[in-house]
Amino acid sequence: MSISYRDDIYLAIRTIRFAKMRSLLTVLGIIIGIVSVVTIVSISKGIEKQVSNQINSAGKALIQIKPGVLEKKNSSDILGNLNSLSNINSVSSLTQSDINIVQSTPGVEASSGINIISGQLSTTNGNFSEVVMGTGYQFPTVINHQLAYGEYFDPYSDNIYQAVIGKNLADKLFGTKIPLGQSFDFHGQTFIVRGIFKQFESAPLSTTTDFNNAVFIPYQTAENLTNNTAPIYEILAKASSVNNVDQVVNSINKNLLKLHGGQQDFTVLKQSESLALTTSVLNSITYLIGIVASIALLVGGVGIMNITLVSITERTKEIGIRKAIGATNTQILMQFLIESSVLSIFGGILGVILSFIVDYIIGATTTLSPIIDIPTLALAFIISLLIGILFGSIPAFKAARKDPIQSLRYE
Amino acid sequence: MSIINLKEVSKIYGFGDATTVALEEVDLSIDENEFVAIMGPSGSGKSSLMNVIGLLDRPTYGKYMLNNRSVDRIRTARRSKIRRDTIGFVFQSFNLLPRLNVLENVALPLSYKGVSLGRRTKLAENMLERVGMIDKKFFFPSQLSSGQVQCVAIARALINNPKIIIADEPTGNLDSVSSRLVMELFADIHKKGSTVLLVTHNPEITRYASRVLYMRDGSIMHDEDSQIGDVAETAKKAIHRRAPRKTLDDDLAGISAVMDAIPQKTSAKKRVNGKKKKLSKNKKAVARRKKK
Repeated sequence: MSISYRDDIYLAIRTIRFAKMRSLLTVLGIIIGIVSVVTIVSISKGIEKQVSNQINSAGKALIQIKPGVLEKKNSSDILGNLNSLSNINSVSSLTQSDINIVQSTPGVEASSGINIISGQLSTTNGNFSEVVMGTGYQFPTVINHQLAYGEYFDPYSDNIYQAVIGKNLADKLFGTKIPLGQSFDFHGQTFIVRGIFKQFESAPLSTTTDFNNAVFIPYQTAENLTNNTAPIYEILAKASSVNNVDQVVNSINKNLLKLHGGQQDFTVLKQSESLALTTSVLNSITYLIGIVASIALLVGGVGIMNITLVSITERTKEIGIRKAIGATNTQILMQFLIESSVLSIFGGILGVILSFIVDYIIGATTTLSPIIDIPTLALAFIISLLIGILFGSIPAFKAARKDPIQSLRYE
Repeated sequence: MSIINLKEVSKIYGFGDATTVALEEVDLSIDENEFVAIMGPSGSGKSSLMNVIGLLDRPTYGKYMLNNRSVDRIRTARRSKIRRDTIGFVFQSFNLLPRLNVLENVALPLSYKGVSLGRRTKLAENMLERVGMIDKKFFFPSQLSSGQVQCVAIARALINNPKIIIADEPTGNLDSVSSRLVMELFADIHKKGSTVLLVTHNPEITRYASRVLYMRDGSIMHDEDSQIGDVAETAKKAIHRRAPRKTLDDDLAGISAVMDAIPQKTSAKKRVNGKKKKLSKNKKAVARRKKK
């Protein structure tokens, strides 16, 4: 870097120090913009991490069979990506025979159908609306999770009125940490709690239900309660080994296709695909909000351009003097470009500091855990620098082209 | 050997009826180590001449040789560099950048040249020592008197060891004591071998000059060699006519007295108007021929 440019940086920093209030007001737009962008990106990264933790905790051998078709749309279409999620959860095309055929597919170590029943639970503490899921006895094996207390259903507990609950529900429903043996009423039947799951990794925006807030009852019990009308939410299967997941997915797909008469009205997903799906949805949302946030950056950029233009008019005489003592047009151009960039980066730094505070508050008050990593910081830096250069260039060109004589005469 | 050589240099601003002739076919040759004082009323073209010589402006017509090299057609960036290395400027007011301290102001031309900070500071300190401002090196321009500002400006003009120093009314805003201090500095610079061009309204200042030019209406009306230490002959007449001079108004009266003392010449504007008339006559003749 040329020596005079280094001086320009130093001078620009001094200019900010001289006029603190003015500089702060100038970069307000940049601060807001950077805070928005950094917060959105950090939230998105946080969610991605949480989802990936959740998925990894279930093991890479897990296979999900969902009703409906996941339409693989053009990934460049942001709204198209959002639609793919709703398609999955629409109508259940899966039946009991599908569960059976998945179970009997070679390479499947364990499997479980899941259906969801709506309705109210009533305990001595009051009435609650919680997710109640009917699952097979292999459910804990399939999702690679253990119980904290009690035990899960066995192959012979098909039609009993017992339940296992998620950790968060224990306190909520019964006001105690270990409500083993306590009971609740559901669909006119009294259920006894026989087990409590360990804490599940949970993630906002995940495509799977939050198991920490769910009640698990035997699959057949659920069917009986609803006269076999409960829709199958999904079928989970666990491949015997991580290495043959692809093979098992193919076999399941082939078997189900045969059973459905060649109609592809279901989707078989590996964990990596599940993650990709969530990530793509997340990215789409991030992009959309990012576009809105960039409006703040645009306004911030215009603010910088405005102040730089004013500053150049104020300093016309200075430009004249500088040119008279030998500054070239390029040196004047660089001086003002550097000044606007330094101002913008100053806004970026304040924005990042504020983002840390905002993210801390978000982390403390919600289930989100935003992550500000080095690429995010680099993004903030690059955005600020680009805005400074982009919006500083018009004023800087104007300054560079000023006629030295007229500048010297300027009053 | 002449360092500055102007041949029939004209500078015309505007066009059509709004044409202003700032310089009219000026022929001027200035040798190395001359101290030239330039006098003339406002609008006589002194500053335009300084701007052309200082490479801040290009002549509309004519040839300008600086250091025996034609500088009419060179690019703006190259002009800036020649200006930086060959010419030092001192203006009447607003000489220093308000955000830089004295030391930084003096070192500024060096930073454009790419000299390292340490060397810059050393050179600037030496130069401030020379103009007697070293104890004020960390002051900002707003903390200095007008005379001190001019001293710092001179230090800055000298920092690149330029061959030519151009000063446009450097004492215009100063009291007599400060004026003298500043002029002594210029005299010192001249003694050390620099060529000094100095625009002034004050006939007293010609005392420091080896040559005095009197300008009016864009032309050099009178060119007079002067003995250093004595007021130039023509300027002397003005002093005798209008004494005593204490205020700026008196000073201006002094300059008009100087101009009274030198011979008259057809005004440039009249000449332009004459040319215009000629041109319109020609146009009419052409139109007539076409009709025929």
